Amino acid sequence: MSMTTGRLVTAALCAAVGIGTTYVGVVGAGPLPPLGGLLSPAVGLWANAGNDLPATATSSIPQLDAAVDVRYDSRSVPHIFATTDADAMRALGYVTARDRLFQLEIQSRAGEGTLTELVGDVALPADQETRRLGMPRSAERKWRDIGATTPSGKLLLAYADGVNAYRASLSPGQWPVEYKLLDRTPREWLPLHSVHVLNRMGYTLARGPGELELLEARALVGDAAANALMEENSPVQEPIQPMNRNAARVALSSIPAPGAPDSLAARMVASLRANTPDMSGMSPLSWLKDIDPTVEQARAFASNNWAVAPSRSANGRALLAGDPHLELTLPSIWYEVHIVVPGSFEIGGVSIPGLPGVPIGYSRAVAWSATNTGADVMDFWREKVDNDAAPTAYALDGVMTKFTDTRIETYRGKGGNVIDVDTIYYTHRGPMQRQGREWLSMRWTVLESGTELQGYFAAFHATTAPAFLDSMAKYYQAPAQNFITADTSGTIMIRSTGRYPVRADSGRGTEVRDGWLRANDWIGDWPVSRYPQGRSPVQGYLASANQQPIDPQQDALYLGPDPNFEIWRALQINRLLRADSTVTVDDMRSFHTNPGSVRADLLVPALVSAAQARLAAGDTSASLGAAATLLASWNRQYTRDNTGARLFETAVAQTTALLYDEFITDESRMRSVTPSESRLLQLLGDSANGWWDDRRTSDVREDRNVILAKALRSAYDTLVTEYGDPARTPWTWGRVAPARPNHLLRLAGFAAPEMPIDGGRGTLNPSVGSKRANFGASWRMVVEMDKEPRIRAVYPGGQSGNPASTRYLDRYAMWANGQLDSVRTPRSAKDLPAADTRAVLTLTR
Amino acid sequence: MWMNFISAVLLQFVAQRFLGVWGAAVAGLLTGVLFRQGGAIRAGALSAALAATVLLVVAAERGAALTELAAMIGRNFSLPGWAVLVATLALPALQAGGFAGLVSGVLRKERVAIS
Repeated sequence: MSMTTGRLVTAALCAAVGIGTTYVGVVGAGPLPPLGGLLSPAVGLWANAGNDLPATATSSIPQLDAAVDVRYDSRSVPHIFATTDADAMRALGYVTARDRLFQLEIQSRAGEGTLTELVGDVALPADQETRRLGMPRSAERKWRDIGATTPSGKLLLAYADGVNAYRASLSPGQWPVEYKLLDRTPREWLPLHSVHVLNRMGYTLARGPGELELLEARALVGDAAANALMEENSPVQEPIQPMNRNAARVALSSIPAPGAPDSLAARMVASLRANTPDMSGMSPLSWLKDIDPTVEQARAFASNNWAVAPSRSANGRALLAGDPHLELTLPSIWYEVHIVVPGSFEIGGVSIPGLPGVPIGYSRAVAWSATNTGADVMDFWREKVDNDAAPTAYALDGVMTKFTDTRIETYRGKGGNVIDVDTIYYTHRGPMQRQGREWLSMRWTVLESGTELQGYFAAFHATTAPAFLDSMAKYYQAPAQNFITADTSGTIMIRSTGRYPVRADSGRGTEVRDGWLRANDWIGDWPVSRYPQGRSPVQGYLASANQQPIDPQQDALYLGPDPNFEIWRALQINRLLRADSTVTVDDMRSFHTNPGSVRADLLVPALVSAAQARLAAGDTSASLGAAATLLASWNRQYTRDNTGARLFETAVAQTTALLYDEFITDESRMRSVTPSESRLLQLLGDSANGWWDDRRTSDVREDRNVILAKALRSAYDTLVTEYGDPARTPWTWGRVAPARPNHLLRLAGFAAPEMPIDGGRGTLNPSVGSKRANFGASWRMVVEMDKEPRIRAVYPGGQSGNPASTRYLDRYAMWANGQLDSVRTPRSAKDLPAADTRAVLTLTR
Repeated sequence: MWMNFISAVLLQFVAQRFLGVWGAAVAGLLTGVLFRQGGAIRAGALSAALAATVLLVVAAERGAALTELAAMIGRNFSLPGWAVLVATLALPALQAGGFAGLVSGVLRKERVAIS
């Protein structure tokens, strides 16, 4: 090889290396993202490290009416001092984007059904579900109805101004790390995006196709057993609307044994499932792809709130507490703020990035919190269409009626390429989809609401607890919430607020109805006077924990509470509050993480007793003996160092699996229906009930003790395999059931470290992660209503959404330990001491 | 030679700082010109890695916990933190070394042809 040829070869190799690495750096290759954008020390991920909250900063929002002063306190909470409501919302948009820009986008895209454009094809099922539910169309119509000139519209526009001003101030090197990892650009924020976020909250909190689960149950065990097991009325009544009783009302009626399948229901289920074999074991409704029983049960941890009247508090002041239980994510779903507009309003608390307002918080006179009502606000109808292949009309009272709308939904990938197309038909009720051989239409209050923000803004100006709730009742529709309030005069009040549809005939939303009869439509809404509510009751406190809001003995109106919302937390908070007639602020704090469990108190003795009975009857299983000993020695407290809770949880899960084997279809081998746990209380009192028989063992008929002992033994053996011999390595709760908030993109490197906590399923602090979900107290707040509210609060995570920030996880340990931080409420910028001021941001035109 | 190398490092620093992902490549081209008589590949790669190191140190000075961040990023790709740091330095080094070698090879070829 000559010298010249050698140089040419070298030059060619150099060109290949240089061009190749630059290509990979700029464009990426295969699964590799553009590495240069990630690794460049100047503009890559490294650029996101360091102090992301400089001590002083100035920025511009061109639409401002006047300058806005923002002071971040030592907890990184921005205190916004503005002169107009619109400027306050502009500043809120700006500070939220400053800490949570990526979260804003992903949350709005989740409600819009365009996640694929941000994260790629992997999100297609989620987007399909969102669009088939009609959510983006609903948001567009809501925004059209709100309009840019209404008070709500102006505030949404102002919020967008703030978000976009921050976005425009960034260079690519300053974009949040997630954009760099995904190789995407932050998009412009529109007022419509806020409506998508609002819809997404409705999806999270008010999506309950209960009639489909009941249909499935009827198809497997017949009407009588299914109706009794899926009955919406809880066998234990400790309602939100106070009954001023000294104990819960318990009515443990007998549950009919599994019977012959209801042939009509079976045909309907088969018809819905036709051509969708992958859906067996899941909801028969394929457009709800996220309905996974494991996740649903974890989701059902829901929320707590309670308030104590001056008559029952140690210092004679009203007290209020709230802790919404949602999926624990990083960054948190909440962003803490405090907003002061002299002469207009002052509010603080937590906002949801993307929504202007404070859903849980306080003003100078009122504090408020919310739990999910879980009402049945989603119904389904079977429809007859003119042409199965390409329908254009549906039957209604004997007339083929044109669809209200036919919408082509186009799903696009990150590069703008079309990855799928859907056609969604709309009847006068809502979206309609083909399900197997059926056409089902749906009506859902979440799609029809839209005045919620108006309600919040009216309520922010309220000076009494009743006025706050009356404002909400006037405007707030979905998702229905149990709003609790307390004011500085000592009034406490609660109201299950939202739009509750009134159905025809039976008034219940428990059946899939025939859509070709208009008589089957909703015929109105319950008036506010029928909403479950209570005001400064004789018992001296109010409490909600997602239980049935009203005792059917008091009012039998159908709200259709979600059966996944268990009664246990309501029983526990009522037990604690009844036992304490001099409640202190610290009591309120400690209740948040109280490890006591009514569920364990009721179910552990049954398990232990069954095991002992079996052992006495000659069962020689060493596992059963060891399990019974371990469970009997547990004090039934979910402290982080207890060693019995893991066994109990697994035993209950095994009991459920054995008990409801009738709901495991031969084809799927998965349980398609899981009744409320409170039904266990009814079945425990009926040891020979047919439900206890495991139909998979044809030669023997099991009773309660056999099944409970079998479940306990099986649980013990499973845990020995998973965690080792408990005599050597105890199944310490904090080790085997820690909290672990995950990153919004499920990126392991950006997740929080595992953290032992007190609490578990059915306790007031239900923060228990499973392999599929991690739900828990996403915000804890205790407010003492002195002359002005004094607030203590915490949430898991931190204010910053930047994983490289010191403010990303700075509240996590405090949250895990059940501590609360003191919330600052300066009335003006100068009221925040310099020593407590972390940063100053001046926003100008 | 040393002056040329110092110039190459400065070029790299400025280019990486202001041209982002293209910076190392552009500075590599210029380094090739500076070192057209030989040693361009080494000079390009070393100057790019050195400039990247300086930029990382600047980031650390601003308060970045580099090793922690590297570990955090690495976990997202099932990689150790040190691999992320090495990749951070290696990518601009390969870009710059490649382009510097290409340019010097071309220029030297032209000089041989004239003589």
